[in-house]
Amino acid sequence: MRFLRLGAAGLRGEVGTALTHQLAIRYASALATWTAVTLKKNAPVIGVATDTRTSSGMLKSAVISGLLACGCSIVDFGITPSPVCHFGVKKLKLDGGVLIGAGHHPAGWNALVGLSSSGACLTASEAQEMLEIYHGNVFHTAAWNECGTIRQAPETVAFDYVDDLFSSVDIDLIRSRNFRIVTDFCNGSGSVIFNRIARKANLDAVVINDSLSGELPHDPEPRPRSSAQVKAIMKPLKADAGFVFSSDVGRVALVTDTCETLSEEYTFPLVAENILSGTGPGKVIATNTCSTRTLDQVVARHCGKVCKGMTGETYTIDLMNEKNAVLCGDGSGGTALSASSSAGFDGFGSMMQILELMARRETSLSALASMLPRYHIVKRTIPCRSVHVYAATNKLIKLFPDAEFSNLDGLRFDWEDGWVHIRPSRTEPSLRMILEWKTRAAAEEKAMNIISMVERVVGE
Amino acid sequence: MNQFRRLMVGISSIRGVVGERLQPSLAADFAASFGGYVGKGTVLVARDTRPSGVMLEHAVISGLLSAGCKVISAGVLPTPSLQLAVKEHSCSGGIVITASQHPQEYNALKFINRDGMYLSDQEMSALFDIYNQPEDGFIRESSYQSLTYNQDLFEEHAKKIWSRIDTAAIRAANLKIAVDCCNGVGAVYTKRFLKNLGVDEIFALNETPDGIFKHSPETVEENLSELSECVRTNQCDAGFAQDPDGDSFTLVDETGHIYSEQNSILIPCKRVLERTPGSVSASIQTTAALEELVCAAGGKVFYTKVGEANIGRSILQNNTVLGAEGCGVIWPEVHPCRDSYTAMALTLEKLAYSKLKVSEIMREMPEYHSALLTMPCNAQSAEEAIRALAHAYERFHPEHLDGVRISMGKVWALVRKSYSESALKIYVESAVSKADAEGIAETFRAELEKTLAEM
Repeated sequence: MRFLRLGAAGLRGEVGTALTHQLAIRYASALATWTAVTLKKNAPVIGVATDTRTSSGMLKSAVISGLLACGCSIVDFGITPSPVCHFGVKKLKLDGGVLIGAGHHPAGWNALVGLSSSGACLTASEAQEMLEIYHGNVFHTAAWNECGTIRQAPETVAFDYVDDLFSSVDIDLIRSRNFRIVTDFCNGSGSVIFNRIARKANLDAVVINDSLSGELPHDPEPRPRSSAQVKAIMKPLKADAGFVFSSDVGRVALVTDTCETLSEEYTFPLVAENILSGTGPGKVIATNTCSTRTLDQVVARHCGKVCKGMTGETYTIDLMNEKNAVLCGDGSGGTALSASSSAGFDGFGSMMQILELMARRETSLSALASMLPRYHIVKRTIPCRSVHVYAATNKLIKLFPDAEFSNLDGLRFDWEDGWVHIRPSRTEPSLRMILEWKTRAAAEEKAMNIISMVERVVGE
Repeated sequence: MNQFRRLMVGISSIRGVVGERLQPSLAADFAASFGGYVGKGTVLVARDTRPSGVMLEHAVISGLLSAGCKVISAGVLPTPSLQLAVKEHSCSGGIVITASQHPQEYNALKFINRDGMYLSDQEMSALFDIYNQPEDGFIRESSYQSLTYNQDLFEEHAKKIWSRIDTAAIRAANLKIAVDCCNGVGAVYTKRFLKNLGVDEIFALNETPDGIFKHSPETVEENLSELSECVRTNQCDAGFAQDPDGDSFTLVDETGHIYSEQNSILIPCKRVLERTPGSVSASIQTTAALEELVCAAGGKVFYTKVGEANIGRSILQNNTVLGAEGCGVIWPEVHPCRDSYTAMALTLEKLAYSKLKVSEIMREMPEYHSALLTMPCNAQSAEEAIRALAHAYERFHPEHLDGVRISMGKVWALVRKSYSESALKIYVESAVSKADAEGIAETFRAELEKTLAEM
């Protein structure tokens, strides 16, 4: 088991063994110091938001003490979905932020994610500067009378967020349809503002797993297997669509009106379909190197262009900004619009895009899904002891000389009918393999072959 | 002060200058160790008004939660209120974030056990033992307990006092009182507390609760001239001074005369002895005037080492009706802790019942004049010098509870090692005159210096 990850995507780890109050204080102190130095401000103002996991309160206290001790003042967002906090940091012109919450991570984990004054996660180069300060362990410590203070975030931030969310879609069109939907918030932070969204978008919504207990009712990654509860009530409710959110609302998976649980891979292509409809050719979409070919085909259909970069929300958002793309996202069910003021993956944003697509095309989600060029995706983990995992990955480079190869992030091999992507897991002593082929039979067969080849190389 | 000795890890607390030694990580780690020491359960957290209080409060809460404790955060609260609440709410312990009478750049964590008393030396060494062990991991996500807030704990404390005091008599006496809140917890609570006790008119000084102290926070004469003037200008019946966390108390009479901390305790102590005659627990540094009062009432004084934890334990052990130390009154009927609120209430009740002025009551008290000298000296030499001094004065049967206390008829002296700095403290009381006390203190200083020079 790997216990801790520290990088551009923040500080993530298993609570108690790796992610402790000590590291949280240190991370907050480093972020405060980096912000003060970067913005040349003695007393930066930092937004802090949490999800509902049970350790989030502890981490919040630790983060606040670290920030205050470095002279920062705090704007407390309380339990807030991460897209609202991304938005709020920018809207309130704060100097930075910290998101506390496990998002899609399994039970037992939690994470701290630093935000810059743009409301976005730190870019790779910003994160590098911040981590140098973290490892140097010398911070911008405030004198006794310069410790910061705490105030609550104004309630209007959530209202402004919802207005902003609606500004990127034809809200009257969505309202006119009075969609019946089912939403599952995984007992995370999504339900705190959803009622407002539902009311203002004239959604007839049935909400499940909306307690703020932080207890996970199912796997927190939006995946077909996490959708079972939504799927079970779709038919009796005659619902138009089901949305299964990650506990921080960054990601969302879909369940169709015919009770099909779509792979989380398809959220992004459907959002892209809506964004690119009616725009001119040449629009750019940013993603990573292991997302479905469905996306490439959807974008190609609209004469757009796909840019691929490293895996991870921060890298994908960076890439969107760098390439001037209109949209970014990945196969985890997360997307972000460049037009939106939210600077992170936004499940509510994805939801609104998909509802707009249903309204524009005057058709059902199942019909939209059936129009997508489908591939069969196989995701597998291949056990590999942690210390050997990087060496093993290097040995795999020459595995398939006949394929088109890229090692931009992990290893990607492309063939005419499919592709495979292999990278070390960031949380477990294993390799993660994603493989996509035109048919189920071909995909399963390829997966078996490739796994046995990989195991042979790893075992050497 | 020696730059390497700016963090004091001492009796019942760790104290340091914020921004230098007292960092959030240190506070969080000590809090986590304390959580382990008390065996999880519920821990109360409170603070005074210092600007660094919120920062340390969050650090302490994170450490306690990581150790598996349930945390109740009480916000700004007097130390005695927290001590009482720990006991009444059956908590496992408490942490107060306050450097008490120390300057504003300092802050400290004070550790309270399940009885609502400061940790004793032995308890403190157990806490250090846990703190110094290699870390064996904190609790996992699934075991986290709740963090809740309680803003009513002072009210509970105050009610316990109000119900024991004759507020009707105080109301009938139409008293006018000035109080110096020292920009501390008193600034939040004291005015209303006195109003409900029946005080007719209240003049509060330094009542912005921001921890930016308008004068040095020790409740001693040189810091209280403003209070003295306020009493005189407004023709108050008395003036009270509190320290920033509300445990210490100093009295000013109707003429503006500021009593020493030692003498300020006499009226409330007298009142307790009138209500419930009996024996008293007092630190070895307490004025001999108290012993005279106690003996006159037929009781006896149980002396203890300096430090509230020791007096509290003596109260419980000997079932005494009262505890006292230099700057504080301990009334076990409310709680065995130093408490400026009980001291003020008892003083007011005495004023109301006696129908006398403060100066008139004080004139009836046994009078001692005191002198205090501080000599820089390292800890090891201090101990040796104290032993030598005790040997030289063996004919007076010195007491060795804490340093050495030598009683010589109308004069007594206490020589002990300071807990907060590298120094010897010489405290002398004389029934004769101030000059007499000062002279004797000088004699002791000369003898100690000679001993140190010979070492």
